[in-house]
Amino acid sequence: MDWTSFNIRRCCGTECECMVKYELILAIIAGILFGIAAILTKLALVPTQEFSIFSLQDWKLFIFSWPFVGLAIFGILSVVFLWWGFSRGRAIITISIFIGFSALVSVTGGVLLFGESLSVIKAFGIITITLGVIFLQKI
Amino acid sequence: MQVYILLTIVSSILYGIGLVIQKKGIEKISGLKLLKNFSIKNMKKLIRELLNKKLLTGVIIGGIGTLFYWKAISIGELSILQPLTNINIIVVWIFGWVYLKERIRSREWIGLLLIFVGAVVLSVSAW
Repeated sequence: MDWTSFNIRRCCGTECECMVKYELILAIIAGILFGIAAILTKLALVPTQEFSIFSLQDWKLFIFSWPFVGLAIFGILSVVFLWWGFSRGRAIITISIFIGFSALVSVTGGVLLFGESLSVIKAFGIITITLGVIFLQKI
Repeated sequence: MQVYILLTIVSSILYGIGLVIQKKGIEKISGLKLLKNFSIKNMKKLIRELLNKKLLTGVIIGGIGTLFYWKAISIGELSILQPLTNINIIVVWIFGWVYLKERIRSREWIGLLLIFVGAVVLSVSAW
């Protein structure tokens, strides 16, 4: 195990191959964290009614609400994992998975926390994104 | 078109471009190697590397996109807006191909397209 490059490699003689695609794992973790941050953003914006980026009062309500602390923590962690993923692989793959998983988590959060409906089409979307990530992992 | 949908689309484009520029900036950072050999000197080097122009530009563009998104999310439904932000996947594909010169194998496109279709389906289901 090479912790410097964070890769598990299988070696046979002088030939080595990477067994786990860490760009995928790091992008999935980043996506989940970002999805949670998106849910917390919605919760933090609730007291502002219609948030105005030029209103000091709205910024105060936003920053001094309890979800903002979680939003900051999950947001920063998601960036760390995303950048880590960038250093391990291609941006097109990493960002696509990151975006896909953040959508999964936010839709699930919308259904569970805000009482939004989970239709068959939404479930199909969730399954398709998951299949896409599984497909990338299997290649 | 609702204002919050327009805001989300602009936000997604800015966010996608910001992410690709951040990737370019990350390539200049030694990252874990510096953390492994932890010292004040290495931490200073890491901070200096994190303040490189490309990474900062990417963060600022992404940050502006986030401000647009916050405005949109305060007046729209999370279940509509968050999936809609997935159009930045297309922005990333185009910008990553042109700016980063990244090439994707034909088999990988299938996985990427599945992710994109899933994201679009989620957006459409919310409408």
